[in-house]
Amino acid sequence: MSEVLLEVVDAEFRYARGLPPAATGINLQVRPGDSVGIVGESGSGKTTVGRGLVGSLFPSSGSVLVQGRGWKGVRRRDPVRRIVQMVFQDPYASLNPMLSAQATVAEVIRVWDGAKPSVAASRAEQVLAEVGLTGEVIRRRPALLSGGQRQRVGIARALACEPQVLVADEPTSALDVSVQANVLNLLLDLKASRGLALVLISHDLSVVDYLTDRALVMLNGEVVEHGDTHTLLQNPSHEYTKTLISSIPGSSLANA
Amino acid sequence: MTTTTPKTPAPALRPSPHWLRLPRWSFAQRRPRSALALGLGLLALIVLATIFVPMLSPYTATAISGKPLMPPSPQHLFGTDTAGRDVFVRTWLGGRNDLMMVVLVVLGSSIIGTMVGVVASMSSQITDSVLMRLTDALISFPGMIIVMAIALVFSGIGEVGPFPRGALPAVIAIIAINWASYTRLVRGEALSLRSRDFITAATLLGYSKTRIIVRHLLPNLATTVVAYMVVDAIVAVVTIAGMPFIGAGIQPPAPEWGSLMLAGSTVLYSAWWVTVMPGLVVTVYGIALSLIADSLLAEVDGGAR
Repeated sequence: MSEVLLEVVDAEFRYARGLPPAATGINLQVRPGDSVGIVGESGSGKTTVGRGLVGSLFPSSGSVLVQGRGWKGVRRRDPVRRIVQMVFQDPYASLNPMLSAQATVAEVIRVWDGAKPSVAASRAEQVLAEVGLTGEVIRRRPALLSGGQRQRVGIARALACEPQVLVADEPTSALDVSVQANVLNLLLDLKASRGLALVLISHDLSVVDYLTDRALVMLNGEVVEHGDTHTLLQNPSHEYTKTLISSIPGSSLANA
Repeated sequence: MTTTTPKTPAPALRPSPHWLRLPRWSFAQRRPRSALALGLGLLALIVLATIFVPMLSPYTATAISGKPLMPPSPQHLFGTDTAGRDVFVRTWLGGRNDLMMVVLVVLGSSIIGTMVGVVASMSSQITDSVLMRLTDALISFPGMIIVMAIALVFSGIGEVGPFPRGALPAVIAIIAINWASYTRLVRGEALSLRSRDFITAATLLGYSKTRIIVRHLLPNLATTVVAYMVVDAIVAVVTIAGMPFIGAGIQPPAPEWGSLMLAGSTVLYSAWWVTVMPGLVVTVYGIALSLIADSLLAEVDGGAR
């Protein structure tokens, strides 16, 4: 069996001491090429787990390990940071309004590889082409990009770091329906071409069904059900999962 | 894979703070470009006049050029003062002194205030608290009293370069209290920016604090700070012009808008021009900067909607 890239062991996350945990009893293993969905309603704790996975929130108990190392004590330029990167929910807030798409991606390459500005710009162009952005569009600032284009820039920025695990927090929820499919297909393509492991956080069961092999269903900060995505959605054992499935209007899942 | 063309430009900047926002009926809110052009035009006229009038005028600012208290005439456009000096040339030379001081005050205050504000927003809670309590103390204390005290401490500084005696102590004194308002503004804005995902992304990508500040925070703070600098340039000139009334600021016989108006106050009813003419120039300066500031804020708010 291949090495574990990202492992969560009985982790609990709190935003402040004295507050109840936002997520508790989380266990998860991510190996190369895996695609894992974390699904639940708003406030279920799935974004909290996502923040814990990328190291922006430390567990109050238990551990989050990246190739066997905990996030605590990882310095800014520690190569372990490259392993896990994040794609954010809101493409409007996740890009610096003052930087062009190319500059946004080139900055990552300059910081991590110490590349000269011209080299970084040309490599940024390649990464942006990989996510479907070419031509003069890459010299535009976010204000002149559509929502889908911005999300592609966000994905390219994460890819520029050459990660092995991509944590995507509701990557399509702020996008038009017509653009959602393009972004999801892009993630699938990248997963195949780069051998990426994908952790998809979503409230949308059909998106999780489309993109992931395994899924965790979260309710009130706890995992209430987990397993193979298809099986889980076809034969849910927990009442909450059944409710989630039945709430999808006109879906084939709802009729399962 | 094809790329989609943008439909409508999406918001680039957040709205300015509510206390800087303009009423919808204001000229600058409805016609920001026209307001900006008018403001810049008026300001350019004032700046050009402060440069060229003292150079081209047949009179000097300190020499007696006519009888005392002559009313405005083709020879003396703004009349003469109590000593018979030309008020026109004194007004524009005084304006030059004032504007040089305003530039120093606004630049000095904005640089110090922005640095402290950004450091506070990026520091530990203890450092942030210490810096902000210091800032609060400065803001809550009556400004003019501190300005007087500091100007007195530095009163030994004489004429330096183009700055007449008394100018630099006044500049130091005003900067010493004025930076705090920039710090308040910048810290709030920086904290709000820090909660945005692009700063979180920069942190996750392992960028250094310096890089996050220089490349990500400061450029996004610039619009708000620049708009406030323009507003502050109005406040600064009022403060500088008010200093002669408390015995500080530029020392006579060098002219300055405040000292010109103060000198004319004793003869206001018999020789109104000595006070009113410099006062009118100060008013036009204030209107010009208000138009510029309002139009900048209207652009920021408009872009964010």
